Amino acid sequence: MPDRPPGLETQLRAARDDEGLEKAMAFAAVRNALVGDTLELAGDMGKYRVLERLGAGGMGAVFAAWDSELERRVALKVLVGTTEADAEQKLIMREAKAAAQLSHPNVVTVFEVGVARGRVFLAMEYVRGETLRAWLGENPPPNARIAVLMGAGRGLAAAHACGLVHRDFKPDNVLVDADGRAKVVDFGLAHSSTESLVSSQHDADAPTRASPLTQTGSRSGTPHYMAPEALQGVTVDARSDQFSFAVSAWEALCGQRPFEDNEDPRAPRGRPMPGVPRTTAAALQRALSPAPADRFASMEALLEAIDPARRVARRNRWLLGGAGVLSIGALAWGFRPHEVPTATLCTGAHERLEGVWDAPRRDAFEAAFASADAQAGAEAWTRTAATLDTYADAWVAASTDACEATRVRGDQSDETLTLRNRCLDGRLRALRGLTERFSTLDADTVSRAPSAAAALPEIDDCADPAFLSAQVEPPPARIAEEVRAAQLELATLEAGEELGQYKEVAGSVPGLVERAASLEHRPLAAEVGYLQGRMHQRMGAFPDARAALEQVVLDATASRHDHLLAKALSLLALVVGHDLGDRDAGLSLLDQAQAALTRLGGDDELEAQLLSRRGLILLRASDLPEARAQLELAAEMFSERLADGVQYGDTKTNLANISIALGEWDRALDELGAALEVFEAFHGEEHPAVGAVLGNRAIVFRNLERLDEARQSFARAREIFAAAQGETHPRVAAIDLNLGNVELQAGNTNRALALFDAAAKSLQASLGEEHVWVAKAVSARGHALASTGDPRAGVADLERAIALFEAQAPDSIDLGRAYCYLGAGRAALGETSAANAAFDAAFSRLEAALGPEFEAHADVLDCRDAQAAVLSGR
Amino acid sequence: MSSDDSALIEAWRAGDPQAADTLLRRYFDPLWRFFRNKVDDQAEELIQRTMTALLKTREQFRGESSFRTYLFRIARSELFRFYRERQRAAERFDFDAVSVADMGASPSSVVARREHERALLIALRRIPLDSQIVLEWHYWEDLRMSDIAEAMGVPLGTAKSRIRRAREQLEQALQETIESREQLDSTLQNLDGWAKELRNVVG
Repeated sequence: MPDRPPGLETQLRAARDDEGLEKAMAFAAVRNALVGDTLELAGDMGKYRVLERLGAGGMGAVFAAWDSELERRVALKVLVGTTEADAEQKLIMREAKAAAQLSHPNVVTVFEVGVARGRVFLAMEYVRGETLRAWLGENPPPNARIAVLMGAGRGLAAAHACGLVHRDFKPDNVLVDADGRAKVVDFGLAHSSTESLVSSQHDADAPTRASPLTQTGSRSGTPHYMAPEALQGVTVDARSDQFSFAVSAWEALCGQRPFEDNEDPRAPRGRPMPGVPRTTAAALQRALSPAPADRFASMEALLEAIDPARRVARRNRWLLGGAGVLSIGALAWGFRPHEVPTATLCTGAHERLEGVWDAPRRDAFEAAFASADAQAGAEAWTRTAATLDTYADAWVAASTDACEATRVRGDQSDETLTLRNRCLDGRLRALRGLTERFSTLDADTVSRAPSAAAALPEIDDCADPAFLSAQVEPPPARIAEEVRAAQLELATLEAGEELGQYKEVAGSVPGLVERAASLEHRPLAAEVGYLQGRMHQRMGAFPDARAALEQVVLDATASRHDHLLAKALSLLALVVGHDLGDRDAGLSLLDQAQAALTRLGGDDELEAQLLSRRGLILLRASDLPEARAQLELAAEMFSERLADGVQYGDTKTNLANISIALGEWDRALDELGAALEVFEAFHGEEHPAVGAVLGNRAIVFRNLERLDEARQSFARAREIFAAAQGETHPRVAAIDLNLGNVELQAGNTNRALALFDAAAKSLQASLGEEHVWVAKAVSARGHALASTGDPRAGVADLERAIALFEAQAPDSIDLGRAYCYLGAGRAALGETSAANAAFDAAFSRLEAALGPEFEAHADVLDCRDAQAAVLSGR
Repeated sequence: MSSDDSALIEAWRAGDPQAADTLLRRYFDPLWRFFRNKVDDQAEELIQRTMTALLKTREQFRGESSFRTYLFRIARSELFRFYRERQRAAERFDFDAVSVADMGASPSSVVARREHERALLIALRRIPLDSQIVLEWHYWEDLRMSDIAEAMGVPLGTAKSRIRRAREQLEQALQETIESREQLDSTLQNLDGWAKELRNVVG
């Protein structure tokens, strides 16, 4: 192979190892899952005296126990697979605590959720009875079956009303007590897997658990009962429970589960046993629809359809519900001049918000936010709800206005009304897509909800004639329904993207792409392709992103989808010019995007984005001054638009990167300050994005030797990360390490020492003894010890750190630094020749790490100074 | 080392958490190298699945290399199973690269790896999956040709020709990556020192 570039093998070998935090955290997670909890339970759990083992369930063992304070028998579920520091445990505890709020005759009451001996436990109502599965095995008559199922369904409905989703409903999670009453158990516990090795071993004969060790939460229930969307890891909500309920009910009433494979639900198998009303089977069949949107709107609605007797009772309540909705309408409309024709002709708008953004949904969402994260959830909810209230009001106002313009005032054509309504339908779909996602929020994503709400498409556009005339043609009637369904899924996925649920979204995109392709509707194909391009870009698959976006450009051009064309060209420019580094091609694509935009009559947000992207392409091409000029223009445009606050913050952050690269510290500080201000305003003061900016600012302060401010900034960043990710998170320890360096620079050696020591211990506990980050901390501690008068202890630390670096990161600059500190330590001990040997090693390592121009590097200069001070200076 | 590994698996199966810990510490690095450049943060789950699959084995291993070969065989099949599960068999997702500031990323992700390594890792991801795997096993894990053949379940001659082909594919992919990379080098060098320090903070 004569044309092989020299050194391919060498390059390959060099790329072999990485020692990032990511790897360390992966190790900690795997270790936790594999060895965290393989111990058997014995003895008491807090105030509960364990009496006997009742069985092993999916998530741990269940014991009969005695509550010694309240003198009652309880069922104690001890979860395995989690340890105290576990984020997953926190999630489960939150869920369980939310479930503990629920009191309903058809739900097993959770008395207490706690931690004892490092394990999460749930103390629950002790039910004398058996599981629904066992009960069904005794061959009860059909009417008794329906009655028990209805009970279980009411339990689910009650939970849904509180915003709880079960996620793993199945006959094994329903208990039937001695009176024949159904009680649902284990709400929300299947949120992510806590199924440990122990249970998977003990339940080796349980073939249903295809992946007992799933950690992601995307597939955590029992496949035979899980809804297709849950199996695919998309949105899991109350309607997924409805599907699982229907599978269980079908099994109970027809003698077998309806589908071989729930991801491919065709016609349900089997027929209802005699005595089961046909309407019941029909209702279940609807609840078994593969698309959530095709199922019943709620468990309540399903139960009503199953049981005709219930329908009568429900009718009366429906009136009450209607009144409630009306009163919301009255609130929204209380201040409008009341005209009789208006009221009768164009009042339907707010009703379309039912089931999307109405009082019951709002309550359910609030609960979902709270269960995602008690504190951050509440803050995120306040912001999100305010934004969506405004959005919903604006939508109702716009819809009503559109309607009145034609029907009441008569100053608008029917065609324009159609266009406006089509546009508004899209806005409503976006709102619905976002709210559909709320039940999937967790501690990581809940804080992104406010910015996702702010990112909804603008409603004002739907009154803009230029915007309206650029709308695409509607699909032909024969595929209209399917296109609408696909558009709703697209809206849901786009909301997931805004919420940062990239993995789930990326997993669902290929399916949607296929669906869009099979419909042969190019505007839809273009919209879906644009999402696909974005996801590829986010995932770093740049050539794939380019290919997808190039196709979007074709589809959008062909179908006159002009807005999308401008956006796709703009993103394609970024991918080609920035990510793939082809500056000229990128800039030329930007010009095309600008032309497409001009043709549309302009759009401030997109134009600001074009400037920002021009800046990024130039930044990538090393043209820092020009990049800065473009980004400054972009920042100015973003700053004029309140809605673009986050982009303004991002742009300021990028400007700060340039200033830092140019060593213009003061300017960097201004820019970071501006970014901080908007991130705080848009994300909240506790958001990790704020923490990241604070961390950068601290580093700038340190470079300016403004140590107090560096200290304060680090301390704030530390608080944020500790609150968001836990005190023991390696990132928090990493900040301690930085703080220690600040203290060292300030001459507070003892404070530095304490911080390094704490960081070393924390990292050791979270990442294991031998991790390279531990080596960093131990090296820093050794350095501090050597300069606080305990050179012997310092030398010991440094030798340990050096051994770790040599083994794991021989090319890192840290190794050179450690040798340099060792030299100083040895000199302090009077071991001059050993000291010189260490300094020699330091320079050769620094050269290896820094390359030919290493002599000019600050670390090398520092080390030369150190050597001169301790040796020649003597 | 061989009977040692088998004994550890046996002890783990019997419920000794220490044994699982030792095995994981011993083999985490190669498994991480194997998965990190093929999936995004699913790597940890796949490592977990691979380790768990070990529990099911009844094989006895002749020497460390035999065990490692077996481990990689499992890892590869778990990876393929994962792709199938996600219905992505036809479409490779390349998750690992650095994200972009434009997308609201924090500055820590602007520059994360040494550029030539990044280019190489990108190039590796661009070639067919099995080609990527044979190259990594050959150059990173020092697996013998016969072990690679065994782990992939193909004849020795096939494994040899796969490596040859994979190398050519990588060269081509690298060439394409480098062409787009050259203009970037200087920026990255400017930012690199800062980025390193930044990484200490924001991870």
